[in-house]
Amino acid sequence: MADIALESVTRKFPDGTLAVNELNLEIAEGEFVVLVGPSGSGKSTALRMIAGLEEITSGTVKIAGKVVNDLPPRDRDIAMVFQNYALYPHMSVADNMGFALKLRKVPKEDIAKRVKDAAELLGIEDYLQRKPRQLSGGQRQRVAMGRAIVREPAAFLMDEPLSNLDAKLRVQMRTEIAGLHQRLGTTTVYVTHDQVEAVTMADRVAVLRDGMLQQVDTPQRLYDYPVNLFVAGFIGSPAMNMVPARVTSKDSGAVVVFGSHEIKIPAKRLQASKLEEFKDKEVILGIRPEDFEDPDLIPERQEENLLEVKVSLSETLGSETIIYFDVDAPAVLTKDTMDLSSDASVEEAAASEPRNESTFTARLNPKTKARGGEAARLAVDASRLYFFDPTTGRVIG
Amino acid sequence: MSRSQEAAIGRPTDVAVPRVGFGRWFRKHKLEVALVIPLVAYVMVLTVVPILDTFRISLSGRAGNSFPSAQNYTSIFASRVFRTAIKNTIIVSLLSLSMELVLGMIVALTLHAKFFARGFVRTVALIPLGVPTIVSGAIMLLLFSRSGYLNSLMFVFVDLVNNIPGVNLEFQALSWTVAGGWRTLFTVAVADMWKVLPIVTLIFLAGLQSISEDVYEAASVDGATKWQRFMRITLPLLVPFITMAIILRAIDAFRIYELALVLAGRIEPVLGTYIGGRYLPPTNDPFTAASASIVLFGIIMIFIVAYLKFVAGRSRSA
Amino acid sequence: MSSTVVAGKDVLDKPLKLLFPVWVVISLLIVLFPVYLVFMVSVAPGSALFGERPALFVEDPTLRFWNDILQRGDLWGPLFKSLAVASFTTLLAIVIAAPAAYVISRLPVGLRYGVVIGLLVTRMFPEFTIGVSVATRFARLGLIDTYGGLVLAHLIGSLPFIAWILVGTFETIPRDLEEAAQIDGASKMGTLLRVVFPLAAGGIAVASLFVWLYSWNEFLYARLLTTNQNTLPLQVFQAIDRGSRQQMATVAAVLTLPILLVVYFLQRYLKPGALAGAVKG
Repeated sequence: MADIALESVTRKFPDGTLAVNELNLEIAEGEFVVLVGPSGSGKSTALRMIAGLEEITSGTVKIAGKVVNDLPPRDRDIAMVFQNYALYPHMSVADNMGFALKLRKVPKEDIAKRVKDAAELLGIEDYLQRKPRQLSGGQRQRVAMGRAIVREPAAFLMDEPLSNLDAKLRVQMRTEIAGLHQRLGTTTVYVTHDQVEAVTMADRVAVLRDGMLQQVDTPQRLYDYPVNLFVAGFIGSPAMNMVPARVTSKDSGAVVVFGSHEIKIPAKRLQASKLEEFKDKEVILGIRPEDFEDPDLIPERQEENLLEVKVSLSETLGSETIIYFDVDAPAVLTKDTMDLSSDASVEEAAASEPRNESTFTARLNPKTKARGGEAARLAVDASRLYFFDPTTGRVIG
Repeated sequence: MSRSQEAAIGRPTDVAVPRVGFGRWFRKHKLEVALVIPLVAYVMVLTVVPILDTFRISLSGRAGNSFPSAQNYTSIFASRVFRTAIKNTIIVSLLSLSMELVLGMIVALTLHAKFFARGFVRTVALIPLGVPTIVSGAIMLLLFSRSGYLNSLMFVFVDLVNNIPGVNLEFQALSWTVAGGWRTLFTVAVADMWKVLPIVTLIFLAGLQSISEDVYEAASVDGATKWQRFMRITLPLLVPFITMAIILRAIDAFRIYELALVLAGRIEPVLGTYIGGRYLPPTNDPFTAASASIVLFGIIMIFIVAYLKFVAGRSRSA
Repeated sequence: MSSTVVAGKDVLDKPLKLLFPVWVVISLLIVLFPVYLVFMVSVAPGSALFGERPALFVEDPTLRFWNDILQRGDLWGPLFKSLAVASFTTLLAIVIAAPAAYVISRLPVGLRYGVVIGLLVTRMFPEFTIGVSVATRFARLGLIDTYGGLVLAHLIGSLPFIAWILVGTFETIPRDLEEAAQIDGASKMGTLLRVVFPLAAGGIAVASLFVWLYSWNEFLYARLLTTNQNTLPLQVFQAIDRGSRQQMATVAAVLTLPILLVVYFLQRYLKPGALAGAVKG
């Protein structure tokens, strides 16, 4: 077990792209850190630099306090789980798992015992003599994990290990990996593009974009205190609603106005932040879908901060109801929000005439009576509003 | 950049082109360089250098002191045998090429269709591939000579037909190989075709298998007949495969040697046998052989370039 | 086109259905009859061969000619030379081409195709263009009539071919596996020996069979580089030149037999699909 430190680590590809740009990250001994970001964010490149599979253009990578820039992968004492598992097709499961030990000249009996122990831990002891092609996707995934575990390495590096599994199996393996980490306590760096995976498994999550670290923190703090629009939009599902807005004073106090709606800002929120400086300037308002509620279902009735909306669609999920409604304010089209969506239509929308309309999502108690096509009133938790500087995308706090 | 970073580990197998500096690139890819060097050296020493050397020989004067000289070229072009060899090479190549393409296509279509015992027929169809070229020459000699088995077969056939009342065919035993002229060249072309038909068939079969079944289904729903489907769908989609077959086969057809040597001998020379005859004893004339081989290469190049430019290029734009 | 529609629609269907089996049988005969001929003539008594209508079937087969060539012993030298040259050519071709093909397969796409096309372009040159110079030099180096000289010559034709096939084989081996091996503690060389080459074994085996066949059949270089120590193909040629029909057929049969067996076992690798990639690439 060991800690890992990345200090101003940079990777420039031969074609000039900066895949990873001055990345600083400290991973404590035994910690489970997830690198998350959209494709092209540099998360895999960062992991591969820790592994020794990718050249480090500048900066240093340390494992257990030792600079490993010059060391080939085999001398770094790390194990890696690949996206496609990378099981050796010509070896049995047992040989796959024992390959690293064999190369290290570990005695045969020891290899057999360690392979057996790891196989039991993962529930694959019945398949040890099979070849990888005779296994299902989930079983292959386990063998790949087993190959890493057998090594008892200083750290596990996992590169999107669950992305080739179907949705149900992915959830199951997520729990298993988290459980394994609790049991073994090995330092783990895990790469994924799926923020749900990130927040459910990680001790800390590092959010990357365009090779740059945006924020690194515990899942809860990332959710509660995103530093910018990108992180705010990336963490949380459904994603945070964002809309251009204006903070103004009224006789009753400060309000934030967007489209034809207005929400009163609690005095405490205003004083505790730099929001004063943005008075009468444009800001971007963020509201998490879970901060809306059907006012009839809140214990202490709320008379202010009720939005009158027309529900365009409602989805009943049993445990909650998700509703969609349009707001008469344009969608936020900054680089941050565009990076969040791989959907080309967003860029098209940005290029075309801006529409004075954007869609909001709200997560309501399933007992709500709000239905698609009908009008509804929604209460907003005004203490949980987010404000962002539209020019920098940074949170105003 | 510090020394430690200089030696940084790259992606193990990513043999990128040197950009940063040759020394560093070399140190990183020592093993890879060591692994390719034998092949590169071999191709250089025993292919590239000999080609250049033959070119040099072809331009060397017999006296040895008049390099470069076109003397060898002028003298071969002045030779009637050489001009006949060029003509014969072109005739045999084009003849066997066109027969191979047509028959290869028919055989491929046959083997692509589903029928009883197709697997067995496919295996049998590959047999000529396993018959050494020199042996196929010997076989063709057995078939096509005056007391050959083709004549036997023809007699059997004529007798069969003559059993039909009112039919009375006459057949004269023919000698194909020593007849000279078209008949001999035709024999060589047929021999070549028999030997390489499996290759052409395999290429076309690969092409046919690459065409998805739904394209045909869509076409028949649109009311296309079998012939139309072949002309409008199969052929256009096979163009890259046909191009490959033509280029691969043309190169070999122009270089034809063993079959012509065995079947046509000195009666109808082709470039291959002409060059061989000049180089080997008793003639022992490397100068003529070298220049003739360069001419042969020129013919191959002209054919391929012309084909790519006029035929393949046009059908792609059409 | 529309004018042929009438002719096309149903008119083609019937003759196709009727003629198809006939055509299949005829083409089988065209393929098989010549091969049958070699073996038939090799056991035919002299009387069956003459006249304008040589017999199509042997009624009283004789093993005289087989006995002759087996006992006279002038077959063993060429047979041994052909076997030795083909085997050494194959071995060397793999040792030289396989590692290089691996490296080529890991080059960036553009460069990789450049190299592969370069290798194939060497095949556009007539063997004579290479052979005239090679034979002249080998004569000076005393390599005429040696096994080594012929092996070197056969490598000229085999190397580009085997390298081309193996580049395709190595391309199918994911780089992930090499990285996994490196993480597991293998050196670059260890990765090649323990992971990459074992996975390419099938492709290497097929490619080497092709090389072996090429060398076994090769005639032109053998002729240029031989004065008295024949290979089997040269022996066939000699029999064509001055032997009886049966002698010719017998030596031809000896040369052909192993190949027919090899092709029979190889045929599952002669799948059209194997070529498809090459065409598209």
